[in-house]
Amino acid sequence: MTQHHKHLVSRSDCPVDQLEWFVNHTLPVEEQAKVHAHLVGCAFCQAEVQNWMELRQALQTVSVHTPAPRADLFLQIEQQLDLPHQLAPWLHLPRLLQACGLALLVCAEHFRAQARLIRRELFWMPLVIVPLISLTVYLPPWQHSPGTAALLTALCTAFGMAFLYGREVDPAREMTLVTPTSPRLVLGVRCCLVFGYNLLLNCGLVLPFLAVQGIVTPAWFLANWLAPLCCLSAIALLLSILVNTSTALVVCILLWGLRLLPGVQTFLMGGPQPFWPTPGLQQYEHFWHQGPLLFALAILTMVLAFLLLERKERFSG
Amino acid sequence: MIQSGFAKYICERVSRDVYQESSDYLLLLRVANRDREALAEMYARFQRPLFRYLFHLVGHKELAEDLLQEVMVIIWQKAHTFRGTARASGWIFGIAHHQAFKALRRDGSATCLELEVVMDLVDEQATPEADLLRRTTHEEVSLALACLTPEHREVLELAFFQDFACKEIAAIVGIPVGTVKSRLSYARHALKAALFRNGWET
Ligand SMILES: [Zn+2]
Repeated sequence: MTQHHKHLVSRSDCPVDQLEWFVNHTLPVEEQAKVHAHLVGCAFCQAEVQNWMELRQALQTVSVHTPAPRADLFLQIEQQLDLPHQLAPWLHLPRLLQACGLALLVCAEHFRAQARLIRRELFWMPLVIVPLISLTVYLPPWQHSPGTAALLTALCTAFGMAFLYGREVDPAREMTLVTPTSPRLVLGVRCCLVFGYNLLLNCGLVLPFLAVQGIVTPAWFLANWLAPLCCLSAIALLLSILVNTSTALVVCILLWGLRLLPGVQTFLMGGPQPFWPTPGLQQYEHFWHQGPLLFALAILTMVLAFLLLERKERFSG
Repeated sequence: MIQSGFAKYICERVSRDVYQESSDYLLLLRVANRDREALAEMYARFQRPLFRYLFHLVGHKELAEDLLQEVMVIIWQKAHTFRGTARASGWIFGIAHHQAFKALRRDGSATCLELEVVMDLVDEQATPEADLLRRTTHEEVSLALACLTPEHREVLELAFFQDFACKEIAAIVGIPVGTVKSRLSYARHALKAALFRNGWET
């Protein structure tokens, strides 16, 4: 409060905090009338209103002297609107979802098409063979060595993979060649379908075993069941592309025959001692139990298969 | 003066509420529907008040122009999010506030007077405030305004250049109504103190 106001004293009913809003006419109409009525009999508030009015007046004169924005600014604004503007990250989300939806739709279409083009045998044969083999995990003679079941299901899956590619085994080859779809995409989709299908069968059959009995642990399943399965499947695919399906099948049988040999001996002889103890065979068997190595090998082989596929298609097509 | 103006105030207010607001709102709706002409009209209507507000806040013509451009682009992009619960002009100034303070934070604002020092000076003055303001030129007021913090300049600007209500200022700036009132009162005293201080120094 300035000295000028010293003889003016505010009363308890003074609407002191409303006076500035009275001055800029923003009070509700009834409040405005109330303040107005109060002002008639209150010198203090009158002086305050006068002060606020002077302030407002002074600021308005400043406002008159404020420069104007340059004349072509709106032109520039319009130009900026015409540019493909940078959206904030969260505004990308609907577009991203839309793109994902479209990608899913295209994928689903490819899967549907390839599922119809792949040989029927690749679906119904594992459906019979894999459960039969997996039964060995549950049956008394082999109950304590689920390794045999792991070996046989891996072989079954690898056979499936060997039948994915090749002039002689692909009934829809001519059809896929004339479409603009890349051969890699076709093979990728087929791999996902057949391998995924076999993987599901394997997991589905071993899962109760994992849950109920303690013989098969998740770590064992990963390292000794899934890892060799992936690796052998990848080798089968690579060989079927590199040479042909028959070669892939023969190599797979050979690779797995060596592993099955001790088991067959044990089964035939009925004894725990292998008939021909060979250190090379043991090392070979040891190799197929190194889970991480096998997974890495499987991935490398798959990459190689897909790289070779492009080359082969380019030269043959 | 107060009494004779009262009827006029009411008329001004009613006409503003009924006409100006509904037309601002309709204009914003048209902008939301990607109407370029509506945006041009909106620019014509708000260019001066927005630019004045931005210029007084940041104190540089070029920066204020850049900010005005940013604000118009944001209005174009976000018009569809306006729900009509407040005045359209309040929504637009809210965007301008946001952009201006973003720029001020980026540049680091400087004030020419320490306000605490200024406040000490206020009570020593015998000259009535109203007389003082009447005698000062717009250059002196501008200079004094430049000495306030952007926050205080802003409430003065919104209350007396743009005639926003207390609640609307609170919404634009994003502070409670009580803070608007205290900030405005503080700004008034600081402005007066700055006027004295500048007067002494020159
Ligand atoms: Zn009073």
